[in-house]
Amino acid sequence: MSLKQFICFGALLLAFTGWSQSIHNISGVVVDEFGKGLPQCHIHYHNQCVVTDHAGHFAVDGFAGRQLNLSFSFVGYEPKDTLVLLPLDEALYIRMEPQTHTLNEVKVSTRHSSTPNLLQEESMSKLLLMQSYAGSLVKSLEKRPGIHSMDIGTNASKPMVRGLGFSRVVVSENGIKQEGQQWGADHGLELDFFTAEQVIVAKGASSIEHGSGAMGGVISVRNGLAPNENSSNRSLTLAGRTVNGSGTASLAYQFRKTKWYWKFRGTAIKSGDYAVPADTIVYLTRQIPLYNRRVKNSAGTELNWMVQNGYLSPRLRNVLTATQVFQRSGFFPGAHGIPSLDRVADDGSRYNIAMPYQQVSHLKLVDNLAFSKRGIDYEADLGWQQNHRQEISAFHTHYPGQDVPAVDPNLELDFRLNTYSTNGKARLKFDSNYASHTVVLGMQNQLQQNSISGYNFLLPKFRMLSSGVFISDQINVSDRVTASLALRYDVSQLQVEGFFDEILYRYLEKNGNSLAESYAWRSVEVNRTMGDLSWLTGFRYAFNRNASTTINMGRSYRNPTPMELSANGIHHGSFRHEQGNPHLDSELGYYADASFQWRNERSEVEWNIYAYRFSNYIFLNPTGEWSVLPHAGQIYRYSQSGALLAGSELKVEHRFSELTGILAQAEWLFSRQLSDDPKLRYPLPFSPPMNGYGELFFEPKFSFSNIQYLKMNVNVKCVLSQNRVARNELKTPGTTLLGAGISFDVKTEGEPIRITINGSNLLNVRYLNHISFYRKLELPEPGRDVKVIVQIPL
Amino acid sequence: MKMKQINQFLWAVALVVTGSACSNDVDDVKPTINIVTPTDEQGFEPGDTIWFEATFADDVELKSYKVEIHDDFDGHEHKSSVVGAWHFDGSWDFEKVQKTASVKHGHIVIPSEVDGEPIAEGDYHFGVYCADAAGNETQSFMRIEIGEHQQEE
Repeated sequence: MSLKQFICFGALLLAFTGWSQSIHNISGVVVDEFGKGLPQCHIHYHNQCVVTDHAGHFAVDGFAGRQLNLSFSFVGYEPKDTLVLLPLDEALYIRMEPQTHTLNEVKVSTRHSSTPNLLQEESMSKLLLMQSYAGSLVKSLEKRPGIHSMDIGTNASKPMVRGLGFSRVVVSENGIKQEGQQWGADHGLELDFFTAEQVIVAKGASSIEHGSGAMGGVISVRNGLAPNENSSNRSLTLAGRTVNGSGTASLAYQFRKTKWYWKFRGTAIKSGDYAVPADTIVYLTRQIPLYNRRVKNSAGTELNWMVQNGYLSPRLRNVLTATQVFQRSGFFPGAHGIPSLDRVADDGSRYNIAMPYQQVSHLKLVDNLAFSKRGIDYEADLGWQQNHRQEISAFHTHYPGQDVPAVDPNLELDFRLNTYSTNGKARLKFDSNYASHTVVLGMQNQLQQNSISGYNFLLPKFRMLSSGVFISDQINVSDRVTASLALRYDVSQLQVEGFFDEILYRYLEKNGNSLAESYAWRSVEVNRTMGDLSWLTGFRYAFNRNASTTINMGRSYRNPTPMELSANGIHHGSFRHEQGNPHLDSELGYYADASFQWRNERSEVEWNIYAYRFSNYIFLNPTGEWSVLPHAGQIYRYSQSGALLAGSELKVEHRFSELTGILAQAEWLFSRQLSDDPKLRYPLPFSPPMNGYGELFFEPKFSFSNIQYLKMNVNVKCVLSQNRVARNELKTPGTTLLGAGISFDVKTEGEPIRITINGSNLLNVRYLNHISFYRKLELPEPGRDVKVIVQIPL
Repeated sequence: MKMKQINQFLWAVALVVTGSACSNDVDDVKPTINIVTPTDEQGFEPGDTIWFEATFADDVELKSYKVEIHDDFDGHEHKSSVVGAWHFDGSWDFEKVQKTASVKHGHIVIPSEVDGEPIAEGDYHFGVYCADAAGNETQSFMRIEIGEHQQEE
């Protein structure tokens, strides 16, 4: 790390202001229209913010002066402002009234969140998501510390939490784990940004809730909030981005009488080739031109719909949701095989999607049922989803005897993954002599079936059945002390069908290759049963109202994917010959973290540190054996090794005044394979480099003409270079990026129109992103982008 | 957890807390390939020997290299494998432990026939791959022409 980088980094941290004089305390309870405590209600004062606990209680101190303005806000309720005279003799009782308007802010009748634990969370309401709009759901979460977006151009992104992505992070929607082809580097997340109403990212090893694959964390997306009684609203959201000339329209309609409600949404996005501040790239020693300074064939189309039906009664709630997300996005022709200049020649259209391209249709039907009986809350989730992913590329073969298929001649790959999920949970609260307990007992079952088609073979046919049971207890000992314990056991059975490639076998045999048979087994038959234990314990101690610390420890696991066990062949998502290993064990990781939170009137500091010790991290090992397949270098074989991953996140927010403030964030990540031989202690691939983020924000309180709730910010992101790379991974130089944003409401007769304008890479800097899919091609990241999003109530 | 594992944990956390960037003693530097002959777009006739001359260099130790030649008709958009398309695949290990090596040989001979058919003439990709002892790999490609350049349909 150079001195310049250190200063840049250090400049993002700031000094705190001093304390004020005589300190007053305020406490109270916030209730909803039924008189029930309202948890997670936001309380703003002096532009600070706290939230109520699970019973709606709050307590804050550290106030000077004679009076204090408190603002209470909760999604779906009318915000409440109270002027309080200090000192306060008695506890406050705040009753919130539900909002009667605005599609985006909806009432919550029962609040069921994921199984309680003490892991660090980043949560975003719909309002905040809209203000962070960056083109896709994952990209809009990226500003938060510990969360990264692995982008495939500007149309698709996949999440990474604390350096762990692919099959090591779980995305769930309405409690059901999203299952697609997460293992693939070029496969993005298939979720509509506009349907998300709440996103909570739990950072750290979270296997308790979802079993295999949640080592990095869980991104929980919910869209089951009910509209207000006797309401009906329509809204249209329009968005556009300059970097890829994209236009988006999302139309929503919802209505509710008393017990039944319906929600409908349709979203359409059309985007063109994205602009980069470069005319050529150098790939495999060849100069590849980027005509018009655009990445050819990176255009995309997205069409989504959602229908939701809900039933609410005091004791029972059922939400049935049907969704489909369809995404088609082109691949830069330089990413498929050896690039030649004719393939990257200008095709004259910014918006056409020519071959090669991928498309995915993700269809889901999910039912969430929640009811209470005799003091126990029950939840059941049933889901079916089908992820149908195709890659279309003009028929090509290197082997004689493979003819053009009569049907779908250009369908290179076709995967159809059906997943059936059933989850059940029972939550019980009781008090013992020393503490109050919230115990959750749960069970999850999942059946996955993958079928394949297409002229090329990549992913085998497989079937996976898994079942997990868990128990957790959240123990509130006192106002200061909370503990959490959880245990889970999973059993899974995986059957992978072998595939023998006759054409390849004959070709290699004829050329006198003695390895013909082993090469021709493109997938090896696998029949495995795996059993895995996970646990998580946490402990939170609050020193006082301002400071607290939390510690977590756990054991988490991940089943090896069919690709890791069984694959054998060239994968153009990674441009090399990858070979599976049927003897891999489940990846096992021990996890620990510690976090410190401190706040006062004007400032908030949060510091997290975490570490993983994997006993058998699964990775691709270059074997030194040359593959005989065309376009292939060495064979990479899936292997296991101990590994260490550790990191830290720091967030500091400080208000200079009611109007302005600053936010500064920094993250570090360190990883390495463990080995007795120091020459083999390589870092893990796709490790995000150290980076810092600083933001100066203004919230002028005046409103002029029809504009109100004006918020503005300028921000800078400093990314350091990443020189700690795995074998054959490219090092990436650092960069500094400038951004800015503005959001405001425009008053109308009815609901306001909400507008957000976000600009990124304002200086149009040419830079590379270490974890981007196109990094291997030395393709620069998108240039200057201005994103506009307008929400119009109809 | 065993003591060793706990130590590793704490060590990693300490590193992160102090924000120090650890230096590697792993080999992550790829070897370099400098191809002298053939040259880009060089033309050959069926039956010719492609004289291969190249220098390889690595900071630690070279391991082996591979030469692969296959057709580049229509930029890889051809409808089916063209009759007579030639594919060559050969790899050689570096004999002794060395950081640089100069390779010159005439082992690559363009046949006049492939599978009993005359060799398909046109553009071919000439690719060279090199791996060092640690597994770092480099690739280099160029185009050569065999026979008369033809328009493939």
